Amino acid sequence: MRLVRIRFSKTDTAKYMSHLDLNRLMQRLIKKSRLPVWYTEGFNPHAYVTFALPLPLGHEGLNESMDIRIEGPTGNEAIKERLTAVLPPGLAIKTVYDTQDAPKTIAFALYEINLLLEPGQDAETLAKEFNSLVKNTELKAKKMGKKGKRKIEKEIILNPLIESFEAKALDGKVQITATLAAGSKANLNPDLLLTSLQEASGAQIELAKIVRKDILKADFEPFE
Amino acid sequence: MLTKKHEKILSRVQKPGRYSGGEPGSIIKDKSKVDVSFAFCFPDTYEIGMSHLGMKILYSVLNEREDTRCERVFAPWTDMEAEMRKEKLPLYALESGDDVKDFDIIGFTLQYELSYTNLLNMLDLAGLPIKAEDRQGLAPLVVAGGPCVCNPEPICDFVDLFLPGEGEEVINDLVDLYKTHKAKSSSKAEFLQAAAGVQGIYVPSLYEVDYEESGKIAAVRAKSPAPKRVEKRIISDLDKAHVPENFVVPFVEAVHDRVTVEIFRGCIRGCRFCQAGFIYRPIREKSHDVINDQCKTLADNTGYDEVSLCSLSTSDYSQIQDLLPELLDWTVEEKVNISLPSLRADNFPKQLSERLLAVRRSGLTFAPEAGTQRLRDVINKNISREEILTAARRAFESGWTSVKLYFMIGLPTETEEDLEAIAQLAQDVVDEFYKNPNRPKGRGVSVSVSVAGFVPKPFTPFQWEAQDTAESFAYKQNFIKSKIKTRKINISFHNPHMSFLEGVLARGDRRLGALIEHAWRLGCRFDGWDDQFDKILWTQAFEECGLEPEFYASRLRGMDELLPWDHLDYGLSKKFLIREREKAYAAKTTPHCRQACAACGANAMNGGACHAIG
Repeated sequence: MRLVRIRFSKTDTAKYMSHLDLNRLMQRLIKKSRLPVWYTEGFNPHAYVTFALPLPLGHEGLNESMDIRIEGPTGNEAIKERLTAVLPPGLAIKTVYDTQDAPKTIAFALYEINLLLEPGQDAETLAKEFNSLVKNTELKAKKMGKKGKRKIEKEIILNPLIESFEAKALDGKVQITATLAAGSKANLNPDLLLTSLQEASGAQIELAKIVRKDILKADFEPFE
Repeated sequence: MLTKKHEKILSRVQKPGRYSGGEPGSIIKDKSKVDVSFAFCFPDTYEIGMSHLGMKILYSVLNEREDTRCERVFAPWTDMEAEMRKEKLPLYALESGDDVKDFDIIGFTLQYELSYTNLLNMLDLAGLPIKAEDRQGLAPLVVAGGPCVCNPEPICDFVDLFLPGEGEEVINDLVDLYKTHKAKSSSKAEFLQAAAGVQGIYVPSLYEVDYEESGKIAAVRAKSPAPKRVEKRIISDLDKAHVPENFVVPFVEAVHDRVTVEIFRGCIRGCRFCQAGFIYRPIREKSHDVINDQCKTLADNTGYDEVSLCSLSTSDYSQIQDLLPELLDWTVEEKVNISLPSLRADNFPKQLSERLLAVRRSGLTFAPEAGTQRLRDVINKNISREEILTAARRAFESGWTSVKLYFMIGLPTETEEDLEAIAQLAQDVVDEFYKNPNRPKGRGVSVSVSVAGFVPKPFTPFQWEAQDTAESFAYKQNFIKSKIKTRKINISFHNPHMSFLEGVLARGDRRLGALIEHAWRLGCRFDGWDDQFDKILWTQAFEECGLEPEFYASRLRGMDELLPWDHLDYGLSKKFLIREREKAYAAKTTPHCRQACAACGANAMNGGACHAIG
């Protein structure tokens, strides 16, 4: 049995698939592709599939990571070909290789966010304000957390979770490039950051296009 | 297909995957290479519509044609509707994103009376006039099929033509005819006149209805060339009927997210309350090897891990003992589960349950429908208390710990004793669990009892009956609840006001068009959803339209009364229905169709052939 990592992109209409939807879809695609994968044992056997870092609904991902277990001699190129043949629009396999880094080494994710603004908003001013807010102001956000078994709303401070942040005006839009904490230890969903920035600045955003460009380790090297 | 406007809206609604398209198996055609475009509309949510086998079949039938493209449309949920109206985004089809109003034919499937307001709402969201008479061109032509079309009178105002019966063949005839008339630029009237001549097409505008002062129908007059009675269409040979080789596999989880293959059409049982048991006659079976091949092909092409056999009563399929071993031969190895819905308690085979258990443990549901033997005889649900308890015992012995029981209240001749017996039967099932010495230790039993209000439906022996009022339903619900003494029984009830409205619409006439339109204008949508149904708005609509719902629901009709659906012919002789009604009142059962032919008359539709009588 071989642990194989599949790197793929999830864009366009595929971004409207939730993480659970994607999981279910992959089960079916693997079945359809007839790849010799390892199945869990139990009442409902299913293919072993794990994702390194779930992608929130509505976000695009350019280098997402999914692991499967292959039994037998099927090579990585063949896996790529057979999965590619069954993928719906919006999903594309980039690379297939034998698993290297453990998912727990993930520490950051690199994002590109394009903000389309409501009429009357100035991209230049907003970009400057965003940069200043991230640098000089304590950004807070409310998040649902758990206290024991109870669900409670808690307030978190976002700045320590922002490794790098740069907003600039581009064709009337605000373009943000950011490296944010990601993974099981600390994680910042860019939606949360945008909500916080919007509240602090009064910016009116018509549409936020969030793209996760890559997944990084603690040393900022790409997760492989 | 996604424009900035789409993206903006989809970023603001729940489950945007319902509205994005792009699912595996969807068929996207080059628009310039087809003659006819068909928007297939399901007037309920994506998750429900994507579970519906009929839509998958017709989607495939139409897309098999090189000259036609068929695309899917579902009713947007209320949050999506609000965004669409705010942003002025008209209703679009999922494959191309094209506006529904630009399609040649807009086809609805009507599965449930409480989806009627959604039909109006979808036409309106498309930017079309809701009334047929206000849509003057040949395109878009609005058509509708499905079981509700056996009495389409309440929605005649909105639909250009109906397709009573089975759609697989008549839909091709419709598209062929449309194509010819589109090519010669016929008017809508010319097309409808021609369509009225096709068996299985009902053009309501070619019929005039006169009413008596009492409100009853005096006469229905067909205008030439429409036939006096419209015969439903059926498929003669189910082995040759079109079955898709692939399904559109949704991203968002559908209610039934699996391969579904029909095993036979019709039902041998003749339960007197069950409309499906009558309108889908005569019985036609599919051969076991054909079913097995279809299941295998679909499992391969979709990647689904579950195959479900679909019929009105799975264990009545005469070749089930041939089919299951064939299916198990490949499904076990390929880790595909088999699901057998609609099993009967009286012939629930022991070996069957054990072999299936090896694959998957799912819930078990039995439908005694009534509490006492007397009332079960009245409705011809030929199943005894012993059979129900035996089936429950077998299920418990095989390791099940939860069982569902379905009942109805408000059935003709029902008494308090019958209601009390519902609680007793549920208790007996609980007791059966504790009689089993090998029951799993430390686990209790859960018996879920679901109680629906009886809705008399057209083309059943109860089509003349007075339905219970909502108040009576509510009283009976409380009564049953008071008789349940254990928490091992979970009881749930259908909303009595919804059952009542369903009853009004099911047996309504053309005058209800104004009511449905008014209710929709007041804001009624998704009336089949408990959290959306608004009793107050519907009451207001009845009052403001000057209509009495009781006239339609709570009135016992005379056997000689002209019924709104009498000019539709579903192959059932009225004498047979009257005979069945008389037997019901005498609490006499009718043997199932394989034991003795009850002479319903439906075999005449199939050249005399009925698989129940060989």
